[in-house]
Amino acid sequence: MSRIILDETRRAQASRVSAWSRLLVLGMLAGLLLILVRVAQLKLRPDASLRAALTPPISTRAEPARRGDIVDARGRVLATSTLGYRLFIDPTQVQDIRTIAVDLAAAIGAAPDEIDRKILAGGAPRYVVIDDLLDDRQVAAVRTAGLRGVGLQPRQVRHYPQHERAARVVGMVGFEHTGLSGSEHAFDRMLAGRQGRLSYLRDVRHRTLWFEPDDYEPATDGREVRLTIDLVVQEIAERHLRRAVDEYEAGGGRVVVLDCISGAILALTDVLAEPAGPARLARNRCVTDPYEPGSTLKPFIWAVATELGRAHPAEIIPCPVDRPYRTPYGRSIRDSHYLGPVSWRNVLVQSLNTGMAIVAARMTHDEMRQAITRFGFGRRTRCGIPGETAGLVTPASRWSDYTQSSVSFGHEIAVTPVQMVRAFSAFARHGMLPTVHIVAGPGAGANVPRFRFVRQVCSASTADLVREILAEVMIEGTGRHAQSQRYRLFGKSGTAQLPRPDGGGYFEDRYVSSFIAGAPLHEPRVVVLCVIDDPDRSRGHWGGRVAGPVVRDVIDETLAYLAVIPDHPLPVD
Amino acid sequence: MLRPGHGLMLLTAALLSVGVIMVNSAGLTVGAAEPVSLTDILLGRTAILAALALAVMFLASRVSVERLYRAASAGLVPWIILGMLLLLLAVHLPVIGREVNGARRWMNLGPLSFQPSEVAKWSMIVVLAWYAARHVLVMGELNRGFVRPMLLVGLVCALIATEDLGTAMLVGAVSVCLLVAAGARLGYTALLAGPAAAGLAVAVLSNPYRLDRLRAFVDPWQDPQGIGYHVIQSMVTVAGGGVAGRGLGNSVRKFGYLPQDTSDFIFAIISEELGLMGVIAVVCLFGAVLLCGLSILERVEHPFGRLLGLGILLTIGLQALINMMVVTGLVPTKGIALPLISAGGTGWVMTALGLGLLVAMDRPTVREPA
Repeated sequence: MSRIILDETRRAQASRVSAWSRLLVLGMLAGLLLILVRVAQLKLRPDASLRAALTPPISTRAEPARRGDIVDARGRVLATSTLGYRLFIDPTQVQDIRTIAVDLAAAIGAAPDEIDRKILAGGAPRYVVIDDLLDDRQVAAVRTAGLRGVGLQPRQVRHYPQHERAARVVGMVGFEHTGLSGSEHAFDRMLAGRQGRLSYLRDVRHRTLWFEPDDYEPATDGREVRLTIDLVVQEIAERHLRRAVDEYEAGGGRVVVLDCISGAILALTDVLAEPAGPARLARNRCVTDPYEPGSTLKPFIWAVATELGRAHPAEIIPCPVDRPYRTPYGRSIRDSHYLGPVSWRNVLVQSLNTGMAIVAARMTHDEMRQAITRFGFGRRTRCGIPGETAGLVTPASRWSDYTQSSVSFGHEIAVTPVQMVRAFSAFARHGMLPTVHIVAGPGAGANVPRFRFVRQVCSASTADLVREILAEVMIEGTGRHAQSQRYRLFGKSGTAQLPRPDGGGYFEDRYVSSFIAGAPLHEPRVVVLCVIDDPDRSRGHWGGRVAGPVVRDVIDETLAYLAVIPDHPLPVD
Repeated sequence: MLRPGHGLMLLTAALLSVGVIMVNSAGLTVGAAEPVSLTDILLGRTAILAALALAVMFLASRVSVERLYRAASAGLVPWIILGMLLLLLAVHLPVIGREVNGARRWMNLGPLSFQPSEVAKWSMIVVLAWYAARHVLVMGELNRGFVRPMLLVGLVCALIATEDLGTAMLVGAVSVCLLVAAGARLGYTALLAGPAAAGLAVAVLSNPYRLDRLRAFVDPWQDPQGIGYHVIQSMVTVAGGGVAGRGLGNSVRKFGYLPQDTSDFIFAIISEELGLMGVIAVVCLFGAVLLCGLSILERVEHPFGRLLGLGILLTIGLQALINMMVVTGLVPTKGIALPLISAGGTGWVMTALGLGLLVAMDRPTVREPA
């Protein structure tokens, strides 16, 4: 009996267990489903605070691009970058802040109290620069010391191996290795390259785990900039200019040497007797500061007037015999010496202001103004040097008879030295105005806004005639003191009064003396301009005297350097 | 034909394989001196333990459950209870007990070490199943059917709870379910509310970190770098990798961000590396284990077998659920492993042993002629 009860109870228990088992398993399956939903929710719809925490632990490191070199026309390095190290400490990571100064001082050979002072000075709390640039020995010592919280930060260091040579043209870089002045500034984008970037996953202790191919952007090094400047020519120009500035106790001077075939600027020097600051930061007055050209402007007016038929080279111009010429509007125009009526050709050889004014009066104001602008005056050359100005040309609306006469002998107009050499090159190129540039080599055109400005400004025959007459200037005219023993030059001097800085007229006894010449006469290679600012009048002030010899010496040495065969020596009187 | 028992063995092997792979993946380090090769994994500690677990499972599947019942009835049970209690007390002895992560859960046995709480967890099922089957006629009584067995359960749970509250709660929950399924009235469980609440209060208040875990569960973002860190990192890891996952071995959070990534929080790494598909696969494997187990115990006639099977299923199922709920931030953090996947020797072997007993019950109901 009890056996039967037991069996039945057992069966009942078994079926109860079975029922509960189904219920409990069902419950657990529901729980598993809940977990699936929860995971899906976390993955697909995380709440706002979780989403913020989901950003993967990624660090990004910049890969510096090496700044390109600046080299001269023949590849001599003018500016280059190397890797240096800056020493800094993170005071929060330093093991013992009391002894760190002593430990560091021992490594880099500095005074401990100086280091302590820098740490205490504060500023950035976790980045205290102890030394901006360490030498190799110091770097090795710091690495060996292995001090905690002390870091070496790689940084680029710019070197200028030619020191002060061509300093204004090259310029310099500033903080963060960006161009501040000169070519460093003008071609900064090309030189700088593009910084690379590496983003990598890090573990909880900031060690690199891995990075995806897309997370690495290699740095593109900056490109080399090859200037047209030739260091040898630059040295020649600087040497002779410095000598002349010293000799005439001038305020300063400028020399531009232009390869008149290619339009390449071979040398660009700017000397100040009392420089206001470092030359590298100074503006390049050869393109920024216009000067009054004086008689050096006459060949351009002469060429245009002749071409327009306002005077024939052989025509006798009624220049005054012994006193100033009085213009129809009542202005008195003087010459340095009076020769009486001379041919139009001789007006240029003898540089007669009166003759120029007489013929200028035959031209319309428009013709005169266009004669100026067609040679590129009043417009920037876009040679690639930063800060270039356009010079000063009186606007057509204010152009008067007075202006007409003044401009004919190079007054009431201001040009930059680079504008002048370019315009003068037209006589060396059969009337073709060249494009001048400071950057040479392949690829230069890609990044440099070079203005394709080649055009015929006067006929070849006129240009050749002017050149021939300018060669006479070297023998019979104001260029006598600048005659070369080796090459036949064609040139023109200019002497203009120095304008007062307040705009109120001119100084009576202060001048800008200039001389411009090209050589060799029959196959010109270079055009050289020298401008001497404010020479001591007691020592000389005529352009032919003061600036002429500089031009001659620069031409002689430059052509020799360029292996140009000398012309037959000419008699010098 | 493939029987549910065979399916259970295959499922166990699959879960252990996932365990071996994921424990090795989660255990990868940066800049290890030796690169990890396939041979290292196959001959490594985890693979050997998995093989051992499978061997134990196979051996357990040869055990006759009827014989086990007879042995229990013949006086084995008191010895089991005694052994269980001794082991639980022994972890507190200086030489034998070993402290890991601030809790004395481990016991040294020569070169081997294991967790007595793991042994107790499974022994308790055997004891209760035997008790309920043996005293089937009195299971409806309050005293003999519920209070007496619960006194033992309470003692064992209290001993476990001193070091491992999660396991104690699991053992308690499984025990109550077993007793109710075996015939105890559901209303009796209300009597447990008082003692359980008191026990929980003591356990939480005696260890400040348990209170922190509760606070972190309520609002982890109030202290994301402090008490909330673990919960947040766990949820971030689960959410990381999106639906597709980062790919096997490519977890980022295992590199120091997520603590206990190879053990209690391995489910998060699975989610990060294998994505939603990996999670679905693991969850389905556990679901399949439950269904296979259910179909086996439904065919067992003897209540002892059914109760034992239910206890095994409940232990594995609830443990997996609690673990995955902890990892996904659904319940407060507890130190409880994911069965057959989280790194751990005792857990793997004991779980495999339990499942092996389930397989053992999967015998043809029709007896072969003698």
